Parts: sequence; structure tokens; C-alpha cells
Amino acid sequence: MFLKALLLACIDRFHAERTVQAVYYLLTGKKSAQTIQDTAWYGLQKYFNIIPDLSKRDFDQCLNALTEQRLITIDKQTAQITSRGRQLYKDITKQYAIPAGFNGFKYQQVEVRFWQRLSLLVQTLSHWSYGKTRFIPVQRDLVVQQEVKRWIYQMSERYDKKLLPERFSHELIQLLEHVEKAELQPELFVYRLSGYERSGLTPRQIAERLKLEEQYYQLLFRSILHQMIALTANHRDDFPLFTSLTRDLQKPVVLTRSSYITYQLLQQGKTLAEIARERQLKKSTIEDHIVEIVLMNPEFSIQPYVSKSLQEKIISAVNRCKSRKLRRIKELVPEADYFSIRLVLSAWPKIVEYYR
Amino acid sequence: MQLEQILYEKFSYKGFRLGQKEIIESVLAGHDTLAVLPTGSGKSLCYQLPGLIIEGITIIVSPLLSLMQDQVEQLKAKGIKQVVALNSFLTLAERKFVLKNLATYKFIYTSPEMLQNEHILTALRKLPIRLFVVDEAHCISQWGYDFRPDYLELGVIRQRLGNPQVLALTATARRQVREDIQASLQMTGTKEFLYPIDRKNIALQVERFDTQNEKSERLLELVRDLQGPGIIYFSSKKMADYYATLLGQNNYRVASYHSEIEQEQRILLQQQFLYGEIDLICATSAFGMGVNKEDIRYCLHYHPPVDLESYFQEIGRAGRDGKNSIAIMLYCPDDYYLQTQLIANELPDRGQIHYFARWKEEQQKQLRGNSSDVQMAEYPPGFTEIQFRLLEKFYQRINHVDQFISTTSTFVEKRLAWKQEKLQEITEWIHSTGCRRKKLLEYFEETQSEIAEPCCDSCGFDIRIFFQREDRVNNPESLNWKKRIYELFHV
Repeated sequence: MFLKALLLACIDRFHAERTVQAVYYLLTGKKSAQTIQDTAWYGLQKYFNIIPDLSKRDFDQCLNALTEQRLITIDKQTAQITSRGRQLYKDITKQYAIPAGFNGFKYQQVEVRFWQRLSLLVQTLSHWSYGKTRFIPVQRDLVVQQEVKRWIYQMSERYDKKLLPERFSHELIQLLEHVEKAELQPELFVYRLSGYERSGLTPRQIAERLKLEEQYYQLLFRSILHQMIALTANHRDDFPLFTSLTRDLQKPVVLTRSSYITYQLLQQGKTLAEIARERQLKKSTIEDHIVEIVLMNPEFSIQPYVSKSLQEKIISAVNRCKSRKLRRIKELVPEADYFSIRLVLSAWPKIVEYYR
Repeated sequence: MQLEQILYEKFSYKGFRLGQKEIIESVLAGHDTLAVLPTGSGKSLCYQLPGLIIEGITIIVSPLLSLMQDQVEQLKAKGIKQVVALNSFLTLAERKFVLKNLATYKFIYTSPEMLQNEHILTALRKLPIRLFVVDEAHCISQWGYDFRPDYLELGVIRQRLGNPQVLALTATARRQVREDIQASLQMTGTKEFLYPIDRKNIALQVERFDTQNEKSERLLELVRDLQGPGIIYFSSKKMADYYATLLGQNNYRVASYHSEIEQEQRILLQQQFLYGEIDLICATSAFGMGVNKEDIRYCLHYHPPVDLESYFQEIGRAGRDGKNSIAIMLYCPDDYYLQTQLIANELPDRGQIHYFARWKEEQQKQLRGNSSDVQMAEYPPGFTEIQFRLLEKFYQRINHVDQFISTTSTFVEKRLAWKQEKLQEITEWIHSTGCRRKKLLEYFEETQSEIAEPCCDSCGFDIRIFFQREDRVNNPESLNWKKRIYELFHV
């Protein structure tokens, strides 16, 4: 049911202007310029990467079920929601609220690593607090094992074997109290942890205990992880241990390599045409890079590429035609080129507010 | 130092189990050694202990990737840290890390596929490898029930690694298979150690039904009555999942366990089973459990496996603590067709062989072309991993396409007929009327030395001795996150 609700929501927003494949890429968090652009233009940020391990088979099966129940219609790989579909969506969407702390875009690269380190560390420190040092680790990745080992080694200069578990559990409890205030149940997370003579539960087991759908449970679980990372970043002084554990994970959202080079050249004051010449790339490729930079970096000004007045014309056109189809927008603002329209759409995610 | 002393210091065992000492002494004396030991009798100690004594590195070739991983972690948990598993599970970063530190390990577990990789073999050739262990060595033989073509190259690889001494281990090997193993690994002056494989403390029972429904009802009845912990084997993941869910709804502490369950969850489930947090595992027969749980009281087969070797291997998980345990097979005539299907699916059929040859040609054409960035799927669609690996192996060895097709087809036909024969044997065993244990041991070319009591359903015993003695309690405590954290950190 959760998957159905997600599909209906995205199909509704896409207004039959994107294929079902785009929905799949969105839900699984494909890091391509196209998907990132779709996400921003249609205001679907909170759906990005919401089920990273969704298989294409399950996705297709769900689409088929929706079609058979006449909740959507599909034509040329493009889906449209029916009024029945919209009704059902309204009825079920409440039970699948997406937590405010969830950010599938920002934490895509780091959430798994964070969990791997955290679960292995808790297991280690739990054994320590019972005076044990040998156990079968819950994380097999050798690199993760090395990272945790190194971290503990660094900490051992400041804390002894008794103090470290104490301090760590103290920070963990504090973090989870914040999580609880944000109306996420810490149980969802805590019972996944393993320690001395206590095994964590698998996602399926805990979802069954709490009578939740496993896929929805996973979302709630990940939201707690996201919240913990965000809290740590915002209150470094309160969580010194978590801060050092996550220091290398707090990277700014990164551009593709090629776009990054373009970004650096732009910072040096080079123009689009100069960069294209210097890098021996097509002008359109550099334009793609700039769109990506704008999407990733809300502070980046598009003024040098689109005049203020043209920006306003494009926005008003978008509001009139209620579409993200470039061609339709251009028909209303013939003087704008496609690059300008894409820039405006990418720089003004707020336009989406009107669109709802 | 005395072997017993090392055994205690490094592994905290008080004494050797049957066969271990003789095998270890043979290895330490420098003989090529072939040992047939029953499952669960501590086969791995036979190379772990000498590996610590011998100067240089021990390589262990094992076909089961997930089990390999478990063994590595268990050794590490014992404090033997210079161990690594070099297999396809490693991420790129891990593989780099391992290859960089290769010389620091004392034990390197790896798969036959990995050893085909020139890059890795080159790295290994630089190391002082002194002991070459082949686990599950029956995989070498065409007449081994679980033949893996990749195992065939192991003899050559042994040579390229500087001809280290060999230790071949298996739980089930008839004479023909043992001969194949020795020839293929080019073993010389081999010392053979054969130990009785009979597991006297496991009672054998077969129950036959006309329909799946009756069988299903009986399963639920047995799970209700039998004293756990237990394992139930199914021939498909779907069925394992289905019954795990069904039993879970009936308040049993149960989980399904098969290759589709992610590694992280598998580790948790093993741990839960070991700690007694769950009492029942619904598993697929193709999937081993890397945990040494000693007190498994029963082993149910909801579907029979495809041959007696697999059956014997699987029931061997029960009763490792030596206490009375029971293996019950539930059989209904439909199962025979299901098994036939399973056997057929394991091997590529004619169409697949032809398709594979065409796919390969296409791939080579593209490679010859100027486009260097053509992306070909690593697998052609519609093949299982085992099918693909087998075809790949034959293709590498035979350059000519027609010959590839005919050789492979002949092999597949022969293999199918042989597998069919094995299926016939287990089916006959299921329908046999005499003592089941006697029949089973005859099949493994062994004579019964001691009478087992209870023995089997033909000899007769009272199944009630295996029934529940304790009341099952399953009142999961309510969730309380702070309490749980206090428990974890001993506050």
C-alpha cells in the first residue's frame, strides 16, 4: 500500500509530463542530472531516494496493479492518475506521512555508512561494558571495521574502556530524546542494535512487531538516521563523540566531477563560451553543468544568464500553462531560449508552490 | 609444544575429537592428506591448527561464499586475527585493502573463481604458501554430487602456487570420488583418513502423504509437538518465506533464511538462533548456515533434497552436542516432479547453450569493433549464476563454437542422466522398508559398527521422546527504548 501511495503521488505531480521510468528513478534516487532536475522542477524532493532498494520488478508489478484497479492509466510509458486514484490517494496518504527529518537527497551517500559504523560501534561498546572484547561483528565490511577500530583507538587517548561506553550511551540517549520530540519513535531504531547477548531485530521482525509495512518501516528508520546526522551537525558541542564519528560524512552535496570543474572555472570569472573552448566541450554540455550547479546550489545566481525581466516572464508563463514542458513554456515566451527556461525552473523551486 | 596445549590455548578446546589429531599429525609431517569426516565434527580445525604451526600461509578453497565469511569471523572472534576471505563479496575498497595487506595474513580463504583471476593469482604467487586446503573437495569430481567446473583447475593452480602440500576435506566421498580428488589435485603419497560418518544420535524417520495438504498439516503438528530448536528445509525460497510467516502468525519464534536475505540480516538471524532468541529456521536446502549451533534437536524436510549426499549433509546440522535428535522427512508423490524440475533448472538446456554461444560471438564482435566503450551485460538474461559459470568454463576451454555446443550438450546430458539416477536412489531410500540407517550407510560404502537407539521408523521408536518438555513461552516484552539502551550498555 505504501508503494502504491508513493506511485500515485508522483504520477499525480508529474502531470503526464514524465515517463514511469522517471518515477522509478526518482523513488530509487538515481543521481543523474535528469532525475535531479525532475525532482526540483516538480517539487518532489521528499520522494527522492525514498525506496533505494526497490526492484524494477516490484515497481512494474505495482504499476500493473494500479492500472488493473483503474487508479491510473498508462499511455506511451506515461501514466496519468484517474479520479478514483486521486480519491484513494487522499484516503491513504495520511497513514504514510513522510517524516520531516527525511532527506533522501542529502544523506544518500552517507546514511548507510553512518548506520554501519554506529551499529558496529554500539556492539563493541556494549561488549566492553560487560567486560568482553570478542564477538562476531554485525558488520562484515573490512573498511568499516577498520574505520571503527581507528576511531576507538583515537578515543582511547581521552577515555578509558569504562568511560567511553558511558559517554557514548549518554550522547545516544540525548540524541534519541530529540528524535522522540520530533515524533519519531526511538524504538524503531534502538531494537535494530545488537550488543552483548542481545541481537538486534531485522527490519522485517520489527516491522511485524509494530504492525507496520516493512517498506514504510524502513523509511521511518532512515528518517531517524537522517535526524541523528542533522542533529549532530547542528549541535557539535553537545555531541562531541557523534561529531567525530561523522566528521568525514558531513560533506556538502557534491556535483559530478565534470560539473565541478566547470563550477571552478566559473568562479574564476570565465564565461560559458570560454569554458566550452578551453575544455573542448559542446556549449550545450556546459549549459547542462550550469543547470546542475543551480540545482545543487540555491545561492548560485542565474542573473548573468537570464535577465530579471525575462525570469519574471518565464515564471508567469509557467503559472499560466501549469506545465514543466519546455516547449509549452517557450510557446508563451518565444524570446526565451531553452537554457533560460531550464535555469529559471531550477532556480525557483518555489514556483512549485503555485503549481499544487 | 604439545598439540593438546596449542588446542587449548588457541581454540579453548580440552581435547581432540575423532580423527582430528591423526589428520593434523599427517599434515604436520608434510603428507598430502585426504580426510573424510562427518559434518559437524570439526573439519576446519584440521587445517586451522597446523596452519598456525607451519611457517608460511595457508590457503583454503571453499565453494560456499557465505560460509567462508562466517568462518573468518569465527576465527577472528577466537583471537586469531590474521584471517581474510578473498571473494567476490568484497567491495572495491575492501579488495584494495586486502590485496595491499595480503602478506600479513596467515589464513586466506578464497573461492575457485577468485583463483582464476590472473591479478589475484599473481599477488598470491609472491607469498610463501605452504598449505593448500580444499574444503568440500567432492566438488572436484564429476561424480561428486555437487560438481563445480571451476574446481577442475585447482591442480594447475596448486602448481602455479609453488606446489604446496595439499589437505583435501569432505564429508561424503565414495571411492570413485576420492580417486578423482587425488588425481585432479595431483596429490602424491597421499594419506587417506576415513571416519565413520554415521550420526548415531540422530533418529531417522520418513512419513509419506498423498497430498501437499496432508503434508502441510503434519508439518504444523510436528512443529507444535517437537522440542526445538529446529530447522525446516524447503526446496524454494518462496515456500520457506510462506511457512515462516504462517508459523510466525501462530506465535512461533521463527525466521526464514535463504540466499535472498541480505547479509546483515543473515548475521542477525544466525545470532538470534544461536542465543535462543528464535527457535525455528525455515531454510532452503541450497543454503548453509555458518553458525555452529550445537543443540539443534530436529531437522524437518518439507521437500526432500535431490540426492542422499545433500540429505545427509543437511540432517547433520542436528544434534552436534551428541544428544538425541531427530530427522524427519515428509514426502508426497508431487515432490518427485518438483525435484526433477530442480535438477533440470540447475543445468543449461539446449536452447540456452545455443543462445550462450551466439551471445559470446556477438560480444567478441563488439570487442573487435572500434567502440571501446560498448557496455555489455555481464550476464546474458535468463541464466542462473551456476548455469552461466558452467557455460563460461566450457567456452573458455573450447574455442570452436560447434565443438563447444556439442561438448557442452553431451556433458549436460550425461550430468542430467546421472542426477536423475541420484534422484532415483533417494526416492528408493524413501520407499524402502528395511532399516533406513543400514541402507544409508551402505550407500556411503560404510558398514554399521554400532547399533543406534532410537534408530529409524522401520526399526521402530516412540517419537514422543522428542516431544516438548518445556512449555513454549512467547510473550515478547513490550518495547522500551531507554530500557534497551541501558541493557546494551550495562547501566
